[in-house]
Amino acid sequence: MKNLLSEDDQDALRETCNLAMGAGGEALFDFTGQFVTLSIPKIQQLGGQSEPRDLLAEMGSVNAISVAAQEFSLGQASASALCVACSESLAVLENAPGVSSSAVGARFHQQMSQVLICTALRRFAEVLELELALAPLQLLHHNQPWGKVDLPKIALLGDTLSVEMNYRLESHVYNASLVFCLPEPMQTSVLAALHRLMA
Amino acid sequence: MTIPLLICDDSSMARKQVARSLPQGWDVDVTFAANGIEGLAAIQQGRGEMVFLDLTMPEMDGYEVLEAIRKDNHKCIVIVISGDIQPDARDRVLRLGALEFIRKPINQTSLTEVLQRFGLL
Repeated sequence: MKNLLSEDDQDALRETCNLAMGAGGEALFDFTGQFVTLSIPKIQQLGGQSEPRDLLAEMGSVNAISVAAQEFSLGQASASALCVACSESLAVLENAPGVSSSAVGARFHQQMSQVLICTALRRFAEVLELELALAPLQLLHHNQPWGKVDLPKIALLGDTLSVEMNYRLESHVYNASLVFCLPEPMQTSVLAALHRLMA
Repeated sequence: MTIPLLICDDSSMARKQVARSLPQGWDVDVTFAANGIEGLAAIQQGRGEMVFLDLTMPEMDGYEVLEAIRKDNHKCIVIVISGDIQPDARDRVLRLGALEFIRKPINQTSLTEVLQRFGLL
């Protein structure tokens, strides 16, 4: 696997994703009415043989997950973002006080994913000073056991740099990860933007 | 008189951004720390009378650093610089004794404005 990013590059990418994550966290706070605990973004270089679980090191052990995917482009390069939530925690959150949505089930996850992904990606693009274009959000799985999760077309085409941002709510079991899956052309584009930032 | 200034952030890029944002001619002696444990050690050694503190860090996060500063009764001035922009994050750090909260990314204008507002320049 070719790793285009030096340690300094990874540090800069992690910090940029930290800002994106913070924006997503604020949106999640608005959506749930609960304080959001942010993690340190985890960067991994994955090969084509990687499993979906490899993208989600920070989520820990969960029985079933719900997955929404958003394809996007920054400038000329394309990539995808996933919002993966522990399904049990989603089901509890639907009925929690302070939640701003009355949707349930897959629709609830879709709304929450839309809020989280779009806000974080907009901030990511803004910091990198790249033009963002978003495709419609797709709901790939709802309440699916790990063994039946299939993400190859979205996340694991060839060598992918993944950035996992895990969100928890301080007083709730909610557990979800936002994952940016950056294939090689996008890595090159992001790297160039990061170098401009660091100059 | 030279002020011992601590910049505590797990990101090398963020530490450099803060250092580049310091007002021209401000008489400070800068120490860098990459997590809360290193930061607290620097404060205990007198290298952080003024502290620019990140929140999301490994080992010991910014909230824990603020709690430790309060518990140990250190007299340092802490300004939090963070990408966690939830309104509650700002309220919490102010309750824990931080002087102000600045959103990342920081620049010289925003930092200078805060320092002037609190009479620190």
